[in-house]
Amino acid sequence: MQNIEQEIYARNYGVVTHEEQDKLKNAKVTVVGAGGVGGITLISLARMGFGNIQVVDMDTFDYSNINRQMLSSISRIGKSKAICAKETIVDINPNINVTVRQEKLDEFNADEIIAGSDVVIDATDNLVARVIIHRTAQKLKVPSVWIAVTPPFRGGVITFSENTPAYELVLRHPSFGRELTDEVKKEISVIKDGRALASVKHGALKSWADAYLNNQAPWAVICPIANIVGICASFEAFKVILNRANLQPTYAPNLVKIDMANSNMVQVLTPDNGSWDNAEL
Amino acid sequence: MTLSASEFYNEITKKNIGVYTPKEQDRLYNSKIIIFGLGGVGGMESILLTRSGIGHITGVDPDIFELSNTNRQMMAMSSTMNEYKSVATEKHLKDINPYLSTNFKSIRVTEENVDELITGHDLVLEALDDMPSRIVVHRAARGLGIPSISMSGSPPHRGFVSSFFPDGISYEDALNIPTKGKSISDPLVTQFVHDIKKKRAQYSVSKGAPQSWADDFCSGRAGWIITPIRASLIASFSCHEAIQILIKQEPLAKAPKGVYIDMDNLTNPVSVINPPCGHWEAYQI
Repeated sequence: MQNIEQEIYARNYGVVTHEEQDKLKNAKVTVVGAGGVGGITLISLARMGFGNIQVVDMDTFDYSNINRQMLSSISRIGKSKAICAKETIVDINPNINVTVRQEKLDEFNADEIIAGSDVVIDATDNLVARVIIHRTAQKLKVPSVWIAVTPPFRGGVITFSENTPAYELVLRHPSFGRELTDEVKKEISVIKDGRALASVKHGALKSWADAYLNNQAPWAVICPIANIVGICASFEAFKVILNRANLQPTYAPNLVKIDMANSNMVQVLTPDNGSWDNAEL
Repeated sequence: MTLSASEFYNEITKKNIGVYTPKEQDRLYNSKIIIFGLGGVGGMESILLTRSGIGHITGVDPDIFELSNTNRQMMAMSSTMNEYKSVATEKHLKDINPYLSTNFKSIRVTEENVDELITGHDLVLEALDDMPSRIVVHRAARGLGIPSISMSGSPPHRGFVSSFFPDGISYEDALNIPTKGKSISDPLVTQFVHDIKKKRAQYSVSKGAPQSWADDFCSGRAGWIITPIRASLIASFSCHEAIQILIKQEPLAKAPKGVYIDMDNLTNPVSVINPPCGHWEAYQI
C-alpha cells in the first residue's frame, strides 16, 4: 500500500516535501457539507494526500445538484452525499480513513464531531449551522475555514483559529455572545436575503433576487465559482497543516475575495475596521 | 430516469438562472466544444462544462490512466486505472448528463488530423502538456476561424489561461514563441521546444520550486510537478472563459491578456494581466 501512495502522490513531491506529505497523511480534516463546495474540497483533500477525512452531510443528491456538485451524478440521485463522498475518496486512495456522519450538525453534536480534527471546513449553506461550527471550532482550538458562494461570480474564503477574532464579529452577525434561541437563529438567517439583494448590483438578475426573496427560486450558483471556492478552501486546509512560515492561511479578518467579473479575480483583502458586511460577501 | 430530455435539462440547470439568463443557457445548450488533452486540466474542464449545461463535447487524448495521475486528474481512480482516458471520461460525463452529445477519441492530435477534428465546433479548449501539440491546435483553430483557450501550469502553484480569437493576436506571438510559419517537425522548432521546458523548470525555482527538482527534471529523472490545486483552478478559470465566449459575453482574458494564477502570492493570487511589451514569455508561465 505504501508503494501505491508513493505513486499516487509522486507528482506532489517538489511542491511538497516528503515530510510535508507525511503531515498531510497524518492530518484529520472534517468537512461539513458535501455539496457544491464540499464535494470538490473533499476530492482535492484526497488527491493532495490527507489521510483522515470526516464528512458530515445528511442530504441525498437530487437533479438540481448536478450543475456544480462534483460528487453528484445520475447514478447517485437519491443516495446519501456523505456515503457517496466516501465511495469516491476510497476509489481515489483506498488507504484514506473516511468517517461518514449522515447527520445535521447542530449545537448538540458539534463538540463531538469537531473534537479531534486538525482543521474543519464549513461547506454548509445554512447560516445557523455555520455559527455553531465556528463557535465550536474556536472553543476547541481547531482552525475552521469559512466559505461563501454568491451571485453572480463571487465567492469568499476565510480561516479562523483560536488566535483570530470570532466569526460572528468578523462577519457582523447579530448573534455574537448570545444563546442561539429561535429568535436569534431567525436574525442570522435573514442575512442571506440581504446577500441576494446586494448581488443584483454586482450583476445578478433582479428577477432572480425577487423570486429568491419570495421563496420562488433557489440560490443561484454556477459551476466554476462553486469549484474555485472549494479548491481555495482545500488550499486553506493544506496551508493550515503544512504551517509554512511563508505560506500561512488567510486568517480572519483577512478575506480571500473571489470575483470573476473583476480583473483582480482572487485577492486577499483586509477590512478597514476589522469586520465585513456579510450581505456584501 | 423518469424525466424527459428537456425536463432533465431544466432541472439540472435551474440554479444557473440568475447568473445566466435563460437565453444564455440556451446558447450553452446549443454549443459544441472540443477539448484536447483529458488530464488534470482537460478532464476537469470536461466535467465543469458538462455540469454547466453544454450541449456537445468532443474529447481527444491517446493516453491511459496511470497511478501517478491520481493526485490531480478527476477521472483517475482505482476503478479507472489502465483505462483509456477518453473512454473513462466519456462514461463519467454521461453519468452527469445522459443526454450530452459526445465524441471521444483515443488518438493523438497531429498536423494531419487537427483540421478535421476541430471543424464543426464553436470553441477549442487546449489542455495539452507538450508545446508542439499546443502550437498545432492553436494554429489550426485560428486558420478555421474558431476561438481557442490556452493554458499552462508551472510549479509550485502557478497557472495561466488566455483566450485566442481568429482576428486577435496569435498564440505564438502572444507567448513570444519564434516558430511562426515553421513546420512543427522543423529542427529549429524541436530545439526551441526542447529548451523551453528546461528553462521553465529553472524559472520555477525563482518562484519557489526546489532547485533539486528542477535539476532532476532537466536530466529526465523527475516528472513535471503539479498538485490538484493548480490543475483544478486552471480548469475552473478556463471553464469561465469558455462560458463567457459561448454565451457571447466578453471574456476577461482575451489574448494577449491572461489569467495569471500564483497561489503562493499572498495578496493577489489570481488576476487578469495585460503583459508588458504586448506578449508573455512562454518559459515564465
